[in-house]
Amino acid sequence: MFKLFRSLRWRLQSWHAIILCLVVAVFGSLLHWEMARAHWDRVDDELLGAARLLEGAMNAVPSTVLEAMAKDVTSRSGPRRRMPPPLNRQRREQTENGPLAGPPQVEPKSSRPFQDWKFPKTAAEAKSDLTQEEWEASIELPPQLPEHLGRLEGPAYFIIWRNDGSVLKDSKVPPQSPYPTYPISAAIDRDRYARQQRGPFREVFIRGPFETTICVGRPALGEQAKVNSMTWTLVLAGLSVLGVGLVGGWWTSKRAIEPIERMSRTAQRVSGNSLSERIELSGFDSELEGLGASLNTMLDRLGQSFEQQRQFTADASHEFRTPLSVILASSELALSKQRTAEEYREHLIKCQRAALRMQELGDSMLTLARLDANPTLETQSFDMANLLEEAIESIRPLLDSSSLRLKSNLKPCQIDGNRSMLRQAIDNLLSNAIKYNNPNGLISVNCQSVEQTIEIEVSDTGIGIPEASIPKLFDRFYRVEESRSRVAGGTGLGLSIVQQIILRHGGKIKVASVVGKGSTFSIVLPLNSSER
Amino acid sequence: MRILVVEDEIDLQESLAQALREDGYAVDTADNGEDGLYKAKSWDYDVIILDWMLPKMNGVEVLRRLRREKKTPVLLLTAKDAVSDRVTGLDEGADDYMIKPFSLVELLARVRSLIRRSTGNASNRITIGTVEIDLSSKTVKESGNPVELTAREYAMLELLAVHAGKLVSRTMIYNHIFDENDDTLSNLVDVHISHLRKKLGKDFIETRRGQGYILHV
Repeated sequence: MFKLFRSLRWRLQSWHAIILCLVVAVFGSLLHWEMARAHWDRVDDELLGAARLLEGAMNAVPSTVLEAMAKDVTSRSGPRRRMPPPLNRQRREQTENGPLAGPPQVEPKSSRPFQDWKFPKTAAEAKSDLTQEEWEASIELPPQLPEHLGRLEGPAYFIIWRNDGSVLKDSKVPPQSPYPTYPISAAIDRDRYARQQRGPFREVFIRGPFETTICVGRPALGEQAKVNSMTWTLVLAGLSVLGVGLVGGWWTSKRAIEPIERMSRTAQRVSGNSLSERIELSGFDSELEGLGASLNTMLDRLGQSFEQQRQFTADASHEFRTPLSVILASSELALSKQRTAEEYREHLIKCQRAALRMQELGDSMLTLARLDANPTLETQSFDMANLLEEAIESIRPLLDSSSLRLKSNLKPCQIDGNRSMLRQAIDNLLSNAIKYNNPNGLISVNCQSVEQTIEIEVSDTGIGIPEASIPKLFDRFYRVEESRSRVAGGTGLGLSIVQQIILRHGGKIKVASVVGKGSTFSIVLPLNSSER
Repeated sequence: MRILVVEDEIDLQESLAQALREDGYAVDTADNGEDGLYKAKSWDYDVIILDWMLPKMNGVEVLRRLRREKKTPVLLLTAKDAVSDRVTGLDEGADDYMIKPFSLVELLARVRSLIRRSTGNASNRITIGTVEIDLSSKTVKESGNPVELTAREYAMLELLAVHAGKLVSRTMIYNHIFDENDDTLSNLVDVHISHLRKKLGKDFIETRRGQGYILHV
């Protein structure tokens, strides 16, 4: 379990899930809130409209007053009555300021019977002439609320309270549920109206004229159901988005992690014994494809060097087998029965030759191994011409015995390098030039300095090297002739050693050859090998 | 029995040839593939011991070309020890495969086994009438009593015995008993036959005049 929590995929997935949940929850709630509000606003607007209608009706001039006024106008006698105001929208302000001073009394003129007609400015003025009871009694409310209100849900209702909490009037269709209580909410005064959801009923409150409060309500089960279904729709949509998001996230994280797992599986297999395994790159994203490709390249190179190493070991053991079999066969034969001293001698000579060859092979392999181990190159300054001179002197007896001629053109070339290593390289080249030369052939050795390098050339007029063999010429244990034990035999490591030494000095070695005409080995060495 | 040794490592070739000669075989040698193939085609060797890595033509190529014409038993002797190499060698027609370094005793045993199989004998002991020949110890008994034979006499008896019931021509005897450096006169065959008759009984070897000799089972 602990491992699971540490898993990258699990962590990615949990972060993803948490963030997705938050986003869905926040946006879902906002959306729900906004939609529900809009929905209820519509209902409330209707109710508010109805409430305003009632308010208007309450503000209307009571018919008793109108009748009185009408009487007054027609008779032009009797007490002049102040007329009720038209619908007064600034009721509160006016009530606060107190009743206004009455208009100046104007004598009516017969020619213009309505000239002196003055409407009272406020309902309060009208009211001031009526007693509360008169006024209350004079309120004429519409016989019913707008028909569309609550048409589907059941009838709408209204209640008008006096501000002392007693009911002034209420609709003929009272709600089935407990009677709404008189609202004390400050919201009515602050927002000019208040609304509430009371059980299945939606109710709106406003202040009516003359210290009253109007409530209009209607059953809103349908709306509630709509809002509920909207809630459920949102919850379901949210859940499905969440689900899709989580599955998608799981899939994405799987996709992201899968290449890594594949790499790790491959690495596990590779760590065994199969360097040939490669990471399957299909379906990788570009970044990981790059990584996989680099790993594959690394494996290629590892495999290559592994294979080279294996090949070298195989070749080496192979190389030892032939002299070893000579020693074993000769000694077994010699010991198989009583022999003369001369016979024993012959067998011993064979054994010695084979042993010497094994020694040579061992020395060459050791030299190569040391070169491969790449220790720091100990350099000194010396004259290359001098080194070549010495090398030529040391092979002179061999030249005479194989009737070869040697021509040299050596210009002084001061160089920084490992003298004994370079001497060995030159010795190997010279020994090849002797081995593969034709009788009465010529060996030429040249040396000159060109700019910051020196060029050394060793050429012979021997059997030459077939073109096909040239690329493999410096490979370890490679021989132009597959057979290993001809007179000129050798270990098959000589040129590899030469190449390694030259490379260690930052130089290059090339070979040009024509079969039957001879070969030329050219070496280019930087004057200061430390400036590689 | 005549054997060809194709090996370019001269010291090894000499030791092999000497060991085989001391074991009573006629031995020819070649130190490169081309010579080896030429000799292998020219004579009916009883066994060819072939090295893989040879100058001029490698052993497997020699084998491939030889197999187009002859089914001489071939023992491939090589330093190549990988399974794939052994498979290649055997598939190209080698009858046996030995890896260097090897033991001479084992090599001789394998040579015997190759000869035995190529002549269709199941055992190293051949009994003809009262004569019993042991091919591995190269001894002969007549009615249970050891018989002293010279190397040549034994070689001739062995040749006749492994082909018992079949006619062995004089040419065949020459081809299988003497090596390329032998310039023995032809009538020596008659001398060896008469010595064998003296030692093993007059009627042991039948002469078919103008054709050769036959041992009756």
